[in-house]
Amino acid sequence: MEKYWLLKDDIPDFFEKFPHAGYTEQFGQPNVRIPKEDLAELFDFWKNHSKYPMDMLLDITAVDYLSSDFAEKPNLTGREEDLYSETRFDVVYHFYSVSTNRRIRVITSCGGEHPEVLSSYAWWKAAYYIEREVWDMFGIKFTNHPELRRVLMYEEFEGHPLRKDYPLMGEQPRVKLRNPEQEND
Amino acid sequence: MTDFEIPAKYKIEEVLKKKEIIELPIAGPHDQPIKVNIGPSHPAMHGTIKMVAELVGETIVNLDVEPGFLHRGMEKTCENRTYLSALPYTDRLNYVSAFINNFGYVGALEELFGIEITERCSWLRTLLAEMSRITDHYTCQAAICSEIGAMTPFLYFMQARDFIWEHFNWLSGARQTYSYARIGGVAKDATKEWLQKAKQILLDNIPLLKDIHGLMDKNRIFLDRMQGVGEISKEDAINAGITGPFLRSTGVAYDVRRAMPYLKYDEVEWEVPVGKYGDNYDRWYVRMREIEESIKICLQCIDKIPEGPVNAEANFAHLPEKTEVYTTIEGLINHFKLVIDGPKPPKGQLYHCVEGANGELGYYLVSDGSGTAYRLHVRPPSFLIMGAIDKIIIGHQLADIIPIFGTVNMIGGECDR
Amino acid sequence: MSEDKILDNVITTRMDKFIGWARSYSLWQYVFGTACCAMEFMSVSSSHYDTDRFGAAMPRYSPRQSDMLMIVGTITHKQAPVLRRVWEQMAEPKYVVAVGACAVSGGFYRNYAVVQGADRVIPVDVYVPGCPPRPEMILDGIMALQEKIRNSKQYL
Repeated sequence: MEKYWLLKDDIPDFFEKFPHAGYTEQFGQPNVRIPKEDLAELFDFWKNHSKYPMDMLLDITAVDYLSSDFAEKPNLTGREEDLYSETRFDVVYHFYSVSTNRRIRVITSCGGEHPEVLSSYAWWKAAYYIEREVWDMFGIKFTNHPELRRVLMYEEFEGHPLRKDYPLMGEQPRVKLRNPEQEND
Repeated sequence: MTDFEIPAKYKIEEVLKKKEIIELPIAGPHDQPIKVNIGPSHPAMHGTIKMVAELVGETIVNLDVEPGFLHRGMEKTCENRTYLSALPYTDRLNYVSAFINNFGYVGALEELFGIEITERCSWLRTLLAEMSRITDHYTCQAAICSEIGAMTPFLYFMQARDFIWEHFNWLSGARQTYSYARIGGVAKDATKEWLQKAKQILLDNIPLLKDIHGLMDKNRIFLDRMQGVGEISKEDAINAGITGPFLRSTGVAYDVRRAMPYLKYDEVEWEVPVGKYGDNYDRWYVRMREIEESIKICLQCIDKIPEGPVNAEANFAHLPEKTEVYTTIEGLINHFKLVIDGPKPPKGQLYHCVEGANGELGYYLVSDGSGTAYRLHVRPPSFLIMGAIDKIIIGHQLADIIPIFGTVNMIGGECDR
Repeated sequence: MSEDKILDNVITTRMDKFIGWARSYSLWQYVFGTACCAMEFMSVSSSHYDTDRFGAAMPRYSPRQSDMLMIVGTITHKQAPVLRRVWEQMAEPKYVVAVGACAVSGGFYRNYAVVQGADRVIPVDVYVPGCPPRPEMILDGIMALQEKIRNSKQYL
């Protein structure tokens, strides 16, 4: 069977360089977990990797693990103090190497009152919009991003809709809404 | 009439040579760039994009693109629905090629559940996905043509698209948003007559393409608007995360169907068309060639599709037959549990990608073992292109926004989700 | 002139009925297309379905020149002020058709981002349900609007 994902055996040099990196494998796909302090080094490493240069940043997204008790995450149960847990959010990067047709997924955690991680815009221009989207949806700040503002929601919007503590029906209308059954104009 | 000498660097020849024009004395009384607001309600902006352009003369010196006018909260809603009832939301991502979105989503779920789909289902999905891609490219090409003033190809394309959509309607009951895929199969099997008629429709499309090539390919007006406009280099395109026909027009032969074959794409013969310069014309031509390749794949699928069951044996994820539900207690319970609780996959996370009509369409799924996705993220191909479009447009003229934006084929539902 | 001749050459009618008849066949539309339904609307406006039969084939991309606002697609909270502004710019008499489930009621997008029906932003005359509606249904909606115009009091 063809291989499309970089598994542990393919990248011994990565684990030499990042001995603290966690690694799990699910459904034939790797989950490489590193602390967020190592991100700059990691971006350098993958962008200029000799064998599998990751020239395309496919996607960045985040997962809010508030009120969850699975995966490798600590038990966050939605209590008040969990709102500012240091490991509340996972930021998930998908990289793709066009020349060698290999992919890898890297995960890092952040949290606290003002979660922030390093922006990858200096390495990949693709980060421009997707990091803005993650900021918009999760409120995770990307340091060194040139223009971190909302992209999908509007500027007046308060809160970050994809966080688990944001209600599904938390509408914030920009115009005064009519009541179609009463008003007649 | 001018009584002063124009400095050499502002001579029009010099200006045209430079891509980045920052200062020009012809900007008007204040020498300030003029801000022009384009969209979101503008015929060329497809209703869902706002662009704020700063103009010096007719040249765009700065551009701010603001998507999000069709952000419908799809990801958040899917976190609150079972896996089965989240399916219709995927239809409305890229609503012109809903089959591809459907099959991408159930493909991710099948990988999660570990379900092997049957041969017939696999061939049928390949056929439908490719026909869907044809309609998507038709829509894009039609929009390009009509936006730069060529109404005839628009009407031709719409007519051809209508035939295919009506044909889908026969199979799935809807012209556009099908919700046809099921975990481990499809909603209902295609009949022999359906396949024969599909073949007929596809063959009828070949003379249409010839007509369009005749109308547009060497049309002087068309060439002037398309050639050398909106160029992007290979390296920039890769760095900006651009995929799909947009990337292939720059000469990078990256296609998920070839790079990471799913369904039956490794068992049919087809080519990956690539462009050379990465300009509007190349994107137009790559799409035209892709339509031809898709027709080729479809015809092979119709010939090769085997007889047999279309649904895999997966009662834990697939709704049972209606006859079973109404006559047996097991079927009824199975149906009830699937509808109320949803199918329960193992815990874990995965990324599954398919080649959407605009590029790599990825589904990143986090499952906590319950019947609802803990997180469903869609990697939208046109969103990333929109992130890079301002750099492509800057330096061009105001009127060039429309063909450049047209060749992106921005689909609001998928870009903003 | 004899009385017979006059009756042959003159039609007597009410002012309202006459103006309503004229207005119902000159609906210049402003297509506020945002989402999936707009793709279906492309089919409607092309040759196969031919809205010219109803005098409604002329899309005007300026709200000041149009009589009928067609809301074709989802209206999100981000889009709502834009829709409101477009509607305010239209000259009287103006008619609004909401095409598709999202424009009618928010559809199945019951969440933080979507306005639950375009009629919560501006008044709507005709609702066309469907997700998306078939072209025939949109034509039916236009005919329903014509009927409504013909039977209503006309202000000048």
